[in-house]
Amino acid sequence: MVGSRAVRAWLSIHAWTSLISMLFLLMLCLTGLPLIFHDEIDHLLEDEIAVPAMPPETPLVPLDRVIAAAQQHFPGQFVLLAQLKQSAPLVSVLVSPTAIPTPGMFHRVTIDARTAAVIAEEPPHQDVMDIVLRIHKDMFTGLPGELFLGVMGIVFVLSIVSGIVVYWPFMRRLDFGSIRRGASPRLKWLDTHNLLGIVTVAWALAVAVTGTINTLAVPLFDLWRVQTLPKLLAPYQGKPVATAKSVEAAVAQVRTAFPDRLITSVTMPTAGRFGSPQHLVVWTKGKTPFTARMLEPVLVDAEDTSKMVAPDLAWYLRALQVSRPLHFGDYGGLPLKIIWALLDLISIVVLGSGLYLWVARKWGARRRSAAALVSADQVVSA
Amino acid sequence: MNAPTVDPKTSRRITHRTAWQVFRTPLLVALVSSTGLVFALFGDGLWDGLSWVALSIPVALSLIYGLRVPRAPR
Repeated sequence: MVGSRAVRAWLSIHAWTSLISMLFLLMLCLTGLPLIFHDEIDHLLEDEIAVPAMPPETPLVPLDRVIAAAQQHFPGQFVLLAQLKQSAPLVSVLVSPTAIPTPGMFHRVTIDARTAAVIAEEPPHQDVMDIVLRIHKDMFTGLPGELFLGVMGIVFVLSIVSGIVVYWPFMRRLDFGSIRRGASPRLKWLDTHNLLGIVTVAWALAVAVTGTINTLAVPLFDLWRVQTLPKLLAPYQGKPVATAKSVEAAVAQVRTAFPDRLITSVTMPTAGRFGSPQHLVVWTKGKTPFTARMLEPVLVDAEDTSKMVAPDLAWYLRALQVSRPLHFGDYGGLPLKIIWALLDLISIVVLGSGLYLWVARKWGARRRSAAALVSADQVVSA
Repeated sequence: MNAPTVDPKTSRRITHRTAWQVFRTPLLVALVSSTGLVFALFGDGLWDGLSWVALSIPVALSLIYGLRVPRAPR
């Protein structure tokens, strides 16, 4: 039945691309499952931060006092950035012992935005979900591992596409959804593999493609920085990393210039790749659900806050920003996350059944040739 | 096209479906799923709800067809 050369070629492509990526895909699907509920699990494991009750109209203190409070709490260390919480009057400040931070090795201190009092402090640590995320993202190997998984993502996409192609010869004589549950488990699992695979194909492709794009985050941001920053930094040639005059003034400028955007965080001047040595980077997001995904930076001169630049985000960075929610499944509330997890489980069944089918075919072929040898042997010795 | 042939082993008629007939339902499911994926990006509330309905279709189909208990042989 599966006779034509083209079909056999596509079947071969499907088998090979699936086998090559199989191990990593299983790891990604299994680690991905708890990661879907990253926020919920963190919430369960963390201690609740108690926000002191105050009248709702209590004014916020200038951000400069908040930053100073964080600096006082860690004398001699480096304030990296301040995250403004939208849901509570809190500012989360990240402080690092080194000017260029090591991933995971920074203090996070939560400060009341109305009094500049330090409410909570988190030492550098990695909790369970951080570990699961690192396995999922780069298997603890940094950028090379991340890019390797990106290649596996491309191989997976080829596996899916070739799977769609070979769906046809297998389903030419069957109704959609029929699973032959006769004596042969191989037939049952073949039909199950085909059915589960084809109904989840749109979701699987979306997650695979966005996952691959996500692995390019570091190179893409570096590319954008290389394209954007030199022009912006040219006037400051030769100057050392600036000290910010006033974070509050910079934020106020951005709020006036962009009234329809919310401020999410401010990055202090830094030589690190996440910021600029001469600017405060004020990150903003839109107010609608879709534009809230589009983070846009505004670079404010650290010493003269009246000078600011809102560089255009390149198309590839916008693609990256859209790829995040589409990969994580966290943009539609808890029901979407549950559906995402179910689709993940179905994918694991597709992967497992595919592996079973390949193994069963190899064993079947070996048994047949072994049986042929045995009967030939019997003929000879008789 | 839809060329009925006779299976030499069982003498039963086999109908070969066309590509469109084979891919019709999967394509519909894929379109509904894709819609479900993007709707929740556009807004909250109703948009999310439509996403949930659309994306549960593949899950529901997997469960319905996958867990169907075979009928007892006659």
